[in-house]
Amino acid sequence: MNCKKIITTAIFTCLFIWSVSFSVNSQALSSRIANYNMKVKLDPVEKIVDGTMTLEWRNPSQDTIRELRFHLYLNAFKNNRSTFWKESDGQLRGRSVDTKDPNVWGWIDILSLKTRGGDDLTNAIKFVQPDDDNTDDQTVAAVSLEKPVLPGETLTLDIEFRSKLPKIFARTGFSDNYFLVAQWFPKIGVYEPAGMRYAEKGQWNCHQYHAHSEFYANFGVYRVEITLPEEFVVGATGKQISEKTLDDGLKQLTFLAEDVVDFAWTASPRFIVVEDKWKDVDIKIYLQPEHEQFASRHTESLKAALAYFDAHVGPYPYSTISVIDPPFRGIGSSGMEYPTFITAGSFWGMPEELRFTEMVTIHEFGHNYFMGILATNEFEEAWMDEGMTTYFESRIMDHEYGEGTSFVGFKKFHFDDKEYQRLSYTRSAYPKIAESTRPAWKFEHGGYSTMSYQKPATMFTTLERLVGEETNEEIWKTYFEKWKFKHPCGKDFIDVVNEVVTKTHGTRFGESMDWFFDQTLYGSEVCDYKLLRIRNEKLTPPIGIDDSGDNKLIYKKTEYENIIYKSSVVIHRLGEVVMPQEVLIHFEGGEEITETWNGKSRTKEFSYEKPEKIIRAIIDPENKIMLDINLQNNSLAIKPQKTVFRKYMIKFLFLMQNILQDFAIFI
Amino acid sequence: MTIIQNYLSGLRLASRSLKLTTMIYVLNLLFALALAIPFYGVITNAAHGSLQVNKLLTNFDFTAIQEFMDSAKGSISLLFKTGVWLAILYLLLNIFLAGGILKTLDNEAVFERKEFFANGSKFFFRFLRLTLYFIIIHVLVILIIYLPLLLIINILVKNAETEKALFYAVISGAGLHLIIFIYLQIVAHYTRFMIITEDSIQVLKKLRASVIFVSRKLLSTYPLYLLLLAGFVLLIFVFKFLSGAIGMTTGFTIFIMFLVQQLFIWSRIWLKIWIYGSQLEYYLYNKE
Repeated sequence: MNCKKIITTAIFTCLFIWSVSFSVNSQALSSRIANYNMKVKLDPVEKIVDGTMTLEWRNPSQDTIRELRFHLYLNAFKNNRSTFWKESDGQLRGRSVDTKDPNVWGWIDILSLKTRGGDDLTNAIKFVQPDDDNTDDQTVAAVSLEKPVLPGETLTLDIEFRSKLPKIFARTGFSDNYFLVAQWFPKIGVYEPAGMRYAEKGQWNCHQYHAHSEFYANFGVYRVEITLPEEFVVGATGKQISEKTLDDGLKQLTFLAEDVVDFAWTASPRFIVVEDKWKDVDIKIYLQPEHEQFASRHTESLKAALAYFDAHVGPYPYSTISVIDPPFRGIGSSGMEYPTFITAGSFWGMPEELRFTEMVTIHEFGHNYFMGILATNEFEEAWMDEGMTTYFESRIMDHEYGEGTSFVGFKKFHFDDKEYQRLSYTRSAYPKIAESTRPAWKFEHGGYSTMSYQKPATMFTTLERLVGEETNEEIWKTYFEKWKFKHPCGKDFIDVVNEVVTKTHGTRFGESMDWFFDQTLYGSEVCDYKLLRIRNEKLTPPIGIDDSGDNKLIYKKTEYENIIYKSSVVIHRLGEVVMPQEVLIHFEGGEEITETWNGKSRTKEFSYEKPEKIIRAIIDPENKIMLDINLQNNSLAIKPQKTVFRKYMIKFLFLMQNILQDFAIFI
Repeated sequence: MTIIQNYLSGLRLASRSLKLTTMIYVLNLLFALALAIPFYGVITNAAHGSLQVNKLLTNFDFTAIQEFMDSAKGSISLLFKTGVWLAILYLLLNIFLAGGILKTLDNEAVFERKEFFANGSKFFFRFLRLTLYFIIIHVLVILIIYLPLLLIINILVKNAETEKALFYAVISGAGLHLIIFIYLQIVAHYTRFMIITEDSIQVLKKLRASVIFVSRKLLSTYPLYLLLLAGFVLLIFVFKFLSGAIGMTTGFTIFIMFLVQQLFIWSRIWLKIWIYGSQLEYYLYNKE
């Protein structure tokens, strides 16, 4: 080998190591099964993204795989025959589309699909529908391989695709020159080896795009090169590693995201970018100019979420987080979550007391832990993503903005996030509509939001209050540490709960907490305990014949010297859900007794013989059982305080007087 | 005579009408009590002796309110339905009272009960017709303003770059409505003055005459009414301040607030008489 060759080899080796170091972190956090290297170009006039990508996919199982599955999510927007369209009826989050507008539709085509080995699989692509019988749905593609992928083997595919973005009404697409490009490329499904989650044998887990769910993917490294007109401001999953100005007024930006399950990006010439930092995490807020005054509302709530998750769940493992503020007509893309990239939402003139922006920012950031890092299957177990995220959203909101006022904080009208979540469940049209563990697309008759967000969030609050804050803290930290980047299922979470609760409390709550989850998660019944009555009867001596002696005598005493009351409290269990209960009983003289009860029987009576009457009693005085659908019937007083009723009667009287005078304005 | 002088003349007439004000106030109170007394029974029963409602004494509690409303919603909605009928009855009563009030003011606020009720019945059907005309006019105005506004909002939702335009559209529509509403109120008042002072039975003719009168003297009639409304706005501010300072958290403060509220209602009625008095003075001085 001559000197020139040695130098050339050395340079290329260095270059190779340098380039590899970009795509493969020396300390991988995840299994990195699916790795994408993409080059895409946005045509902002035609609303089309043309792309080429190299997908490196590793067979994680011991199986020989002969078929691949891909998500082609944008086909959900292709026509009104897709499963997504049928489920949503072209309306989602209060937004609908004008179907006469030809621009509303979106689609994705795989133009070419080849293996590095030279097999052209383009013609082997066929659409399958694993979730329903809707043969018109084209959101999942199956590709038969000419050469199977052996256990542990890595397959490299070169794919050309074209994505037409839909006009935004739900999650993804465009609105004028604002682009929220999500679920936009052919994404390989998850091959679950036997033993992973609920898989008894190796299987593809690749669901169709549904109105209510879209997330479940393997971890990987995404290197994405985006070309677009230079006036566009771009934000994306991961970190921007380069920017190049090209001819014809174009520019090329490259983003790198490691150990993530998805890649989304946004572009708009109108964005104002506000940068901030929390510890080592770079924060970028992409704001609409008319929402500039919302910058601090985004950054402060995001920092609160970062700090809270760091302290109570686990460290945020990425170095960036971007928040996108969609424009008014792109509001259908608000409130979405992608790894290190979330969309929030704000409205010009929205008062500070209405903390919608904060709530959405915190909520969507929370998804980065459950959908993003733990990477649960949102299709099949939405409660593990939406429910857990909502629970932490409530905790953070109440911690940051105050209990009783965190969500809406006007002086005379206020409520917090936790009570909003609870009331959304307890006051829903039919709180027994379904169990929370149902797959997201199987809430055919409603109840998805209630059963995936609000009921599980309320269930976690109940669990927290039952087992105590410390134990609860350990549950979440253990769960995160044990399962991060590993796609846990519901059973894995419950196993952690059982392990931690048993370790901390022994058998105080039984052999395990299965009884709790069986009722509240896998069951659809409700919890409702009612304090039915309080009774106080003066004890009197017996009357009639006393034959205790030799003679039959008539009882003479009509009253005891010391008055004794036989008092009782009767409780009814109206719901089917059984919860351990505490009952606080107040006596006239100030004495208080706290009774405990396993809550199992349909009725329960607590009786006493005391010189004082019972004046009031409360079931669950510390409000631990937040799942109880009616807290009003949890307490009873024998002489209710009248002042509050007088107050509201007077308020009502005043209201009526004013309404009558208002009515007389025409005179 | 300047509008300030009319304003003060109205005050003079209103200050002589304390008995009249009190009578209307009592009627207002009786009507409202007809709903408030059953309301007290409804809320007491709906609470079922629960301690949760006690939270509402010192603070607003969303959960307590929501769960309480759930247990009381049937009875409360029935009460509100009854309230609508009561309000219609109250409107008719006010139509009846208007004749008496205006005739009393026309007579330098000398209140004679017998004459008051005689004038009430004399002008009742004329004022009823007038009220119906104005209700129709108000409905038409609402249609004329809000139908195009809905159309504009629909266009803006589809085309506006930001939501600011929507906000401004709604504010403009509501502002325009307020301006027209006030104008119609002024016209309605002067129509009544014309009917009363001329003892006319030609309601429509007087309505037309009132439109001409008010429009010709818009730079006086409109500011005078706004000046009079300013008194009402001031009254609201004073009430808000007092209710904020007193609160309703104990039996004593509830009682004090009850007195303040009743004083507010009485003052509202008295202000209305003041408004009538000032406008009537203006009309009598400026009529052709």
